[in-house]
Amino acid sequence: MTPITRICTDFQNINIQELIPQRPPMVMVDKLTASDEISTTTSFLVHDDNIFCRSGKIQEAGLVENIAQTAAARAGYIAMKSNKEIPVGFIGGIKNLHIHLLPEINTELITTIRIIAQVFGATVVAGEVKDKQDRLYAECEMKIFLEEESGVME
Amino acid sequence: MQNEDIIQKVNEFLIEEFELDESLIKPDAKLKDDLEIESLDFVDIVVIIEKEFGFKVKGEDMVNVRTLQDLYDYISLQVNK
Repeated sequence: MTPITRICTDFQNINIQELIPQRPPMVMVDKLTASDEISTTTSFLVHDDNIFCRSGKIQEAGLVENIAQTAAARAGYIAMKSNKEIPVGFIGGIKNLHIHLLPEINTELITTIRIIAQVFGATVVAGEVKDKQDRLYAECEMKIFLEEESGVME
Repeated sequence: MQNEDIIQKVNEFLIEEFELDESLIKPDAKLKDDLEIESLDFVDIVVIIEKEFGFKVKGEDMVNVRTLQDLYDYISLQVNK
């Protein structure tokens, strides 16, 4: 497993769009705030012009995308640290998805993914979306495959 | 670990995880054809096996696992090594 140091000052200077393949208006993460051996956290402020926003709230698909992009940010961060190209990932499956709340405009989402397992080229992660008050908006397990398996989710 | 314990654990997680009808759970049931377990589902099976039985599954080992009995035998062999 590739060691990643949890150094906050390191993360502050990172443009998260350099870590993920998505581009506006599909970007659903603002900042990488933490990453270590088993987990990664991002933040995201909900704006009213967000592509997943309806009636002032981010819809279910947006929350799933937010979790997936947090996983992508992890892969990108590890690739960046290793001077490798940012990998493109694919969601192979989602299970145990629970949407508890839909976040409203101006909510800052704190999303954490935790590595559960790595099997046959797939990385299984548990993701959860909360806010600063620790309210849980969504959680799920996701199977992710990287286009060119390089082990960068480790 | 006794074979009965392995069979019970495997059957339980297959029924729970894949919502399989209990009547389909037979030793000679083919994982793909009879239980309709797809290749992506094998990822979940491996994750559960590793968690429940405490050994690392190698991809090449799973190539020969076609029926439930093959799966029981494989797990039994690994846990009783």
